[in-house]
Amino acid sequence: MSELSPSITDYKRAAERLIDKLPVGDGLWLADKRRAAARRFSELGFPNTRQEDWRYTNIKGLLEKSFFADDDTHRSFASHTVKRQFLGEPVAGRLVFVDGLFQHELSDTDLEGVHLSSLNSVMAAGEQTILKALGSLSGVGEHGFAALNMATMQDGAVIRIAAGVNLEQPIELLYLTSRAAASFSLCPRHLIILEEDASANLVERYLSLDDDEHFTNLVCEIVLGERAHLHHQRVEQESPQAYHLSELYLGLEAQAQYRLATASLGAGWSRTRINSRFSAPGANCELDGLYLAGDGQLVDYHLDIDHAVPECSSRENFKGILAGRGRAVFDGRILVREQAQKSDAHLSNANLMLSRHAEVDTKPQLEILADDVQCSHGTTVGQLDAEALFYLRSRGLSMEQARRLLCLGFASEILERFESESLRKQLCEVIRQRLETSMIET
Amino acid sequence: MGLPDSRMDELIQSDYVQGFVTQIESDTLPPGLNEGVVRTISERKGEPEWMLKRRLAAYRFWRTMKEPNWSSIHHPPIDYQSISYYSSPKKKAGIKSLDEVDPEILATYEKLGIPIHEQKAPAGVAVDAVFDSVSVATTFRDSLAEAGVIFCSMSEAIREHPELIRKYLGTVVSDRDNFFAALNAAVFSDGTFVYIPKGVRCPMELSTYFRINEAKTGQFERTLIVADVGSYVSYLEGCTAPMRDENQLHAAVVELVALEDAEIKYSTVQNWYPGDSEGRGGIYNFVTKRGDCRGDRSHISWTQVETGSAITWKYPSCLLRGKDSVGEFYSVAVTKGYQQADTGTKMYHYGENSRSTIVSKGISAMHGSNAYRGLVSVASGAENARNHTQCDSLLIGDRCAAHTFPYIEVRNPTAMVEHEATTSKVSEDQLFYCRQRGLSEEDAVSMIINGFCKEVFKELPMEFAAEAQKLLNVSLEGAVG
Repeated sequence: MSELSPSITDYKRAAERLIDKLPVGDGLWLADKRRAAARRFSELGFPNTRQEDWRYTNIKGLLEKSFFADDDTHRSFASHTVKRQFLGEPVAGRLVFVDGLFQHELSDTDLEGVHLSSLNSVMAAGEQTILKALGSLSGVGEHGFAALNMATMQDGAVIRIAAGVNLEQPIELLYLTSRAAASFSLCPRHLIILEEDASANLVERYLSLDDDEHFTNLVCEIVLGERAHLHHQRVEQESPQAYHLSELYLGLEAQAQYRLATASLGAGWSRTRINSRFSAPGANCELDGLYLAGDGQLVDYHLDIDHAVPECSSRENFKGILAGRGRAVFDGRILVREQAQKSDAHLSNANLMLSRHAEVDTKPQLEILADDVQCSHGTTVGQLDAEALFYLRSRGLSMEQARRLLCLGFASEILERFESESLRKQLCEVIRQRLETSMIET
Repeated sequence: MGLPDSRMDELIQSDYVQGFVTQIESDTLPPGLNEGVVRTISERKGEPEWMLKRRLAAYRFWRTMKEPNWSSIHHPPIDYQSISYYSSPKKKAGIKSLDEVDPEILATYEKLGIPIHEQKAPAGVAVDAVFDSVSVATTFRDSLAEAGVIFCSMSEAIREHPELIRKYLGTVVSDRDNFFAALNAAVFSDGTFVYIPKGVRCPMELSTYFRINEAKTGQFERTLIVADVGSYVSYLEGCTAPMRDENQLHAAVVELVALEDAEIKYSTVQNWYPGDSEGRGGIYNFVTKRGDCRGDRSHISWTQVETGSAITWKYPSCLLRGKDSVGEFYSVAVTKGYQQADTGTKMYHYGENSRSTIVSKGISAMHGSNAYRGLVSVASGAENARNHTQCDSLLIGDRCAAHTFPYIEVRNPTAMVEHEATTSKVSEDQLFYCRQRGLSEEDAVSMIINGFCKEVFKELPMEFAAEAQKLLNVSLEGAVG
């Protein structure tokens, strides 16, 4: 990693040019914060495989593409192609982004008790209360990419749900990329705040309209107030050429509840890191994830569950299917600090290897500093059960059908955690197709 | 759980009975490390030229290396120039029999309960006693020789069996393997060499007893066990040291080679001085242990009971290269006071149908910190490799820590790899059950802890299983309550 071309300085300069151009309203301090992030980035540089967190995740290919942020803000696209991607059920509100920018006319932001807007407009209007919350969980950035996001974030969703508001229907957050974003890096940044006793359901999806390469470098901060309740359904399904990096930061107040169902299906290289921090007792988080790594794909999940206060519980369940030259990396860390007595934390990771060229590197970790706790983790790597296959074949299914059925059965435990029926059906269909076209080798 | 803190603390102060110093004249090199020291060690041991060359190469390489810092242990930096690298009890030249060994040393071992008088020894255990940097006695050599088994000190092996040493030494843990292994390769003083010839089932248990006595010294022993085709050996090592305020370094290397159909069972009961209840003193135990299942159907089993040392840093590993080879790792690690343990195993699956089992039990009490760090790696050619890992941690008291860091790397779809880990304190339910059956709280906890470790203890040779259980009870006396 000695000779990087373009160099760290090139990236930093590009970031600074962008900062100068951005609307800051009266929030000059935000520009300063961004410049600080750019400096932080140049100190940190990009991560490398000598760092424990990046041990199995090579970014050489990503750096070779030298993705830069794009400062052109006028791109055209056909709105009907975007509408076709909408969730097939009524939604309470909708935020649509295409190639990194908020699309007002395609969105639906009129919702009582809920602030739905784009980060760009919040920045332009200089809405201090919201802007102050930026970076409150993520900081300036623990590694180069996160710092770069803070420096060059161009737009993103801002969702604030007022105290006591209870939404029945989901809020849709749709993030699309088209050919126009090809070879650019996109730096979305979302901020989601649920005040006390609010409850909501969020469907967040990353889709590509074309098969082009780009780099999505996302940071999302989610703050749940006391007794707030968020059900978060998240799908990453970008083009097979894409690079996708997601950092989720989660802050939970007393008795807040967060449930995540996530699926990583697309992008040639993807990494999702979820940082969950409990800041008051009685909170609970449940994370369920599914990943598919087909030929040439790398899927990486990093979980960092920090039990800093007593009486919180967390449960994580991640499952992966690997085929072709697919690679999966899983790192699930549970930290229970000295004060966090009566913590309850359980993590499980299961990997199904369908091909002889696939590779899984999994590393669950428990770091326990308190004694009155119940913690466990489990991980498995295996293949389809020969007896189950034999049973299905004896019932007249072809080898291929039998294998597909068993794979779907394996995935269904996670799919069931997606509450939205239309989304669940869609995911099922995508997985079925993927299994048919590339995943199954008999 | 019931008892007030003051009573608990009082109970915790169980004595380290092995903590005495033997007053004896010794021949100790002044502290410091340079090429001259390496040459002197080699000369004192009467080594051939090729061995000296190896030591010097290792020393030069070590100087280019940095101390590793990735583990979860913490200690002040070690000054490698303040350690003496060689210390041996003064002796008359050419000791022929046990009677000529310094009676003080014999008394030391007697006091430790180590049988080096053959007539008093329990049948079936041969002992190599290593005192500071040298082996002072090896028992039952004649009866072992009858079976063709070579059981001697490493220095002697270098002189008497150079062909075996050159063939096997450093082939499992290379002289450049890691910081401490390179240091060991440069300055190792003594240790044990075992060779079991083809088809021989070693007629007795072999064991080495390591004792650090001299102050400001480090112990760098080197052990090599070679089990030739179709042979079997069970080997046990034990270790103790005096109580001192300073930290002493113990950086050993153990290499095991199992050829076709051979089986090696390696057991460790490690009870180095753990430091006092304030965390002063104690041994830094930085050890590299690795077994090579070189032949088909070979079998290596590591069992360790780690109750001592201020810091334990070791990962007994298996290279499962042969078809159908088997690797096992059973561990109980206890940390109390300010002890830290970062231990675990690495299982590298290369051979078809290779299998491995890992059972690790960590117990942390008081300010103790215990980490399991392990790797299971399945190479692309390892068809039908199988691993099961079970790591359980038991926490006693709210100031201790338990960590689990398993790494799993799989490159073959026919592999079945499972890992499970749990962390909890002694369950109230279990305790309640035992109490209502009339057991006192102490007995109940002790019973639960022994049950927790049973899976590992049953792997130890019988006499030592009882010993280990006793050690565990003493070690945890009063830490629970």
